[in-house]
Amino acid sequence: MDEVFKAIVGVIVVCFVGLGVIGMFRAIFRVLGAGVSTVKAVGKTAAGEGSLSENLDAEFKRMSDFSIQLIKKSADDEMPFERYEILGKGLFPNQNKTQLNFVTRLADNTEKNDPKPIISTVDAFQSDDNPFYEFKRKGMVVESGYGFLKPVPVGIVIPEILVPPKSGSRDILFIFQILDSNQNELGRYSITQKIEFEEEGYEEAIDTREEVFLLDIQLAMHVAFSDNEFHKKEGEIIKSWMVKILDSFGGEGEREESLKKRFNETFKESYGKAKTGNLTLAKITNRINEIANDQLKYQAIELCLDVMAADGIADEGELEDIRKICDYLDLDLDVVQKLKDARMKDVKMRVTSDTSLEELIGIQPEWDKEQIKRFLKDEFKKWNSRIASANSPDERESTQEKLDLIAELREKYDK
Amino acid sequence: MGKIIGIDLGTTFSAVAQLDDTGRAVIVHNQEGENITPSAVEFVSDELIYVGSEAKKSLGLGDKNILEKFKIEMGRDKQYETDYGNFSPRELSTLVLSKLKKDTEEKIGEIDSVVVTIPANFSNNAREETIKAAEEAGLNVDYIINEPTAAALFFSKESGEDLSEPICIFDLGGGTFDVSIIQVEDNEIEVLASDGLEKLGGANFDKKLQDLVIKKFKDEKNKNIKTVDFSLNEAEQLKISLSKREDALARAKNTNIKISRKEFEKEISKYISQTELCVENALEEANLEVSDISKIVLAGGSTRMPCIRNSIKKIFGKDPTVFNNPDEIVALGAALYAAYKSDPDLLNPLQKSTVEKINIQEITQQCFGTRAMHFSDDTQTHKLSNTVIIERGSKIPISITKEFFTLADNQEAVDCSVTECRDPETDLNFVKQIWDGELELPSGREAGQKIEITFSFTDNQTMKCSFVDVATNRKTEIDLQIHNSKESDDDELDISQFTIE
Repeated sequence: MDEVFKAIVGVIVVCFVGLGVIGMFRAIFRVLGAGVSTVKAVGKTAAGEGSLSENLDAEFKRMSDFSIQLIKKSADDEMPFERYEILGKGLFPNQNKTQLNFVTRLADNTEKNDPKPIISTVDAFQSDDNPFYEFKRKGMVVESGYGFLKPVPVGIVIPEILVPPKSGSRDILFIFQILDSNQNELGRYSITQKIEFEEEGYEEAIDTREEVFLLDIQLAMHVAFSDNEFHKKEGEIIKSWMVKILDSFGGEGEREESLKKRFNETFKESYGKAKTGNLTLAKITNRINEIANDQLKYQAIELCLDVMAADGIADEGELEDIRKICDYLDLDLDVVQKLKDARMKDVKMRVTSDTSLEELIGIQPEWDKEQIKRFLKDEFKKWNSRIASANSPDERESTQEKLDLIAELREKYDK
Repeated sequence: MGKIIGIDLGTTFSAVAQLDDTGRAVIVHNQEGENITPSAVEFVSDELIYVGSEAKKSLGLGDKNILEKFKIEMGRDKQYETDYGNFSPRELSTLVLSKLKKDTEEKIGEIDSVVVTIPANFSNNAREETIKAAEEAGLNVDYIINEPTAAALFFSKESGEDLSEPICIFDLGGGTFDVSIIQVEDNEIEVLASDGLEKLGGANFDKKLQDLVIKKFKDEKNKNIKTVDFSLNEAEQLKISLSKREDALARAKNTNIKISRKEFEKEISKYISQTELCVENALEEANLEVSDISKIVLAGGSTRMPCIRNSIKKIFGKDPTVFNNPDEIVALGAALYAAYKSDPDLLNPLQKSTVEKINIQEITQQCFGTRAMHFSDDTQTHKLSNTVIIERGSKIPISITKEFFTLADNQEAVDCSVTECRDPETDLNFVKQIWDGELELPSGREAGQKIEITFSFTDNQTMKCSFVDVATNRKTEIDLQIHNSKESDDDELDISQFTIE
C-alpha cells in the first residue's frame, strides 16, 4: 500500500466531507492562504492627492507586474505529502473590473517539441472533460489596479497523483493562467520543474491501463446491478467516465477508436453478465490486484462510488459491494469511508439490515461496544452541528437521515 | 398597571401568559377559550385567513392553503406556496402572533411589552426573524428568552424546591427539541450547556403513527388507505390515547384497527435515541455526570409520552419531574421574564416581589467571529481564516474587542464580516457568514493602522458589531437585530462553477 497516496486521498477527502467538490477546492485554497480579501486588503491603494489616473499610476509604480514562482514543500502538519505551491505576486493583468479565475495546468515538456498532458488520478484535480491535471478556482471580482503585494499561494500540484507519459526524470511545465469572467485569458505564466516519477507512465503502461479501465467498467456494472436494477443515471455515470477517459487519447485516433470499441463491448458484455448474475467480483478484483497500482485502484473505487450515488439512493447491496471491493483491493477503509461520505452528502439511503447500517456509518468490525458508542456520539454531534449550516433542503434531508441512522445504531448498542 | 406578557411561539402550539395581580404567572386564554393556540394558518380567500384551531381542523389533508410547523424553517430561505401567494416562515409566524395579540388584548387590554420565547439552538438569523415577526404583528418585543431557560425560571420560582444542584430542562415540543443543563442558585439561573434538534417533536411522531396505521390497514385488512383517510390530526389524537393506554383503535374508512403503544414506540425509537444523544452531549459540554443532575424538568407536550419519560429515567436513573402543564410552562416562564425585564413602575407590589430576586445568566449558543488575514510564520504567507471573537457558551451580555491591523500602505478599506458557527472554527468552509460590509479608510497612511472590532451579544440575544479605525474614529456599525442576514454570494457562485456534470 502506498502510504503517501493514502495520505493525499485522505487529506483531500477530509475537505470533501459535507462540502462537495467546491468545498475541497476552497479548503485547499484555505490551506494555501489565498482569499478574496487578500486583494482588497493589500491592493486597494489609491494614493495621495490628484486625479484617479494619477493615483492608479501611483499604484502601478508601487506594484510589479504579476508573476509566479514555484516552491516545493515537504510533508508537514498541514498536508502530509510533498507538493508544489505556485505563488503569485504583483498587479493582476485585468484592465477592467472582472471576476478573475485562476487555473493551473501541467504538461510534460521533456521532449521539447512534443509537450504531452499529465493525467491526474484524483477526480478533483481533473479537467471537466478529461482526466488531465487541472486545478481551477473561481476568483474574486476586482477592478483594475489590484494585486498581491506579497507572494500568495494561488495553485497547488501534488506529484503523487500525477501520471506523466513516461517514468523517470521529467520536465514538467507548470502553466498558470488568469482568466476573466468570460474565460478569456488575461495572463499566462509558466515555470518548468524537473520531477522524478517512479511509477510507469501512461504511455509505458498503456496496455495495463487500458485493461484496468475495462475492469473498472465491470466493477461499476457490478455495483450498479447490486440492487438488481440498472438505473439510467448509473449508465450515464459509466458512460461519462468512459468519455472522459477516451478524451485523454485526443491525439491518437486509432488507439482512441480501438478503446472506444472495447469500452462499448465491455459495457454491453458486463451488462449482460451482471443482469444474469454472472459477473464475478472476485475475478475482476483479482486481476486488478495483479496489474494495477494504488492510483488505479482508487480511481476504480471512485467510479464505483459515483455509480452507487448515481440514482440518489445508496442501496444495501451497493454498500455491500463497495465494502467487498475495498476488501478485495485492499484499500484503506478510512479513505474510502471519507470518499463515500462525500458522495453520501446528498444521497438517500435504502438500508434494510443492521450490517449495512454499521458499514454505512463507518463502524469498524473490530471495535468494541464502548468504542462504537463513543463513535456514534461524536458522529451525531458532528452531523447535528452540520445540519444548521446545510446549504440546501436536500443536504439537510440527507443529513437528517444520517442522524436517524446513527440513532438507530445507538439504540442497538445501548441494549 | 402595565400589560406585560410572555409568548411561547411554538411549532405546533403557542401560548400567552402574564402575571396576575397576585404576582402569579397565568395563561391568557385565546378567543376560543383555549389555553394554547395551534400555530396553524389557513388561507381561505384573499380576505379570509384562519389562524389557530379553525385552521388546524383540516390540517394534514394535503391542502397547500393550510400550513403549520413553519417555525422550524425560521431564518431559512423558504417560501410556502399557497393559492393566495407565497409566504415566508416569518410572515406566517406574524399571522399567528397577530391572532395571539388580538385575542390577548381583547382579554386584558392593550399590551405594553412582550417577551417571546425561542428554541435554545436557534441561529442568530432565526432569532432576528422571530423578533421581526412579532414586531410586524404590532408587538413591542423588548426581549426574547430561550425556551428551556423560561421553563427553568418558572420551575425555580413556582416549585418551591431546593435547587442547589444542576437541573436538566427537557423540552420536547411539537417540532423542536431542546435540552439545557441549568444551575439554579439563590434565584440566579445559569445556563451551563444546551443541545437540541432542529426538527424533532410531536409532528414526527404523528407522521410515524399515520404511516403505521396505513401499513397495518394494508397488512391486516388488505385495505389501501391514504393519508386523507387517516389524517395527521387523527394520528395526533391516537398518539394522545396511546399515552394513556396500552392500545387504541384507529378508524379509517369505517374500519377499526388496533394499534398498540409498543408498536408505536418501536416506530419512533430512533427519535428517542436522538434525544438521548443530545442529553449526553449537553452533559458532556457542561462537564457533568448524570448523577450531578438533581431534577429533570419536562416542558413541551410530547413529554407526556411514556416512552419519553422512560428514556429519561433510563439515562438519569430517576423519574422526570412533571410540574404544571408541560404545554404551558415555557409561556409561564416567559411571563415571569417579561415582568422581570419590564419597567418596575408597571408592576404592582406583589408582582414586583415575585420577580425582584430573579437573575438569569444565559450563554451564547453559537460562536461569532470575523474573516481576517493571518500571517503564518511557517509558510510566510497570509491566510484568510475565521477569527472567533465571541465563543459559544460565553455568558451574556458580553462585549469583546479585538485589535486588527491594516496590511498595506495606503490601504483605503477593510472588509467587515460577521460569521457564525457552532464550534470554534478557523476554516471558513465551516462557518456561516451572516453579514458582510466594508469600512472605508483615509488614504495616505502606512500599513499597520489599528482597527478595533467589537462584538457585543446583548442580553436580548442579538449581535451588535462595530469596526473602528482607531486613528480617525471612522466606524462601520451593524446591529444584526435590525438588518437582514444574508448568505455569502461567493458560496453560490463557487458551487455553480465547480459542479462536475
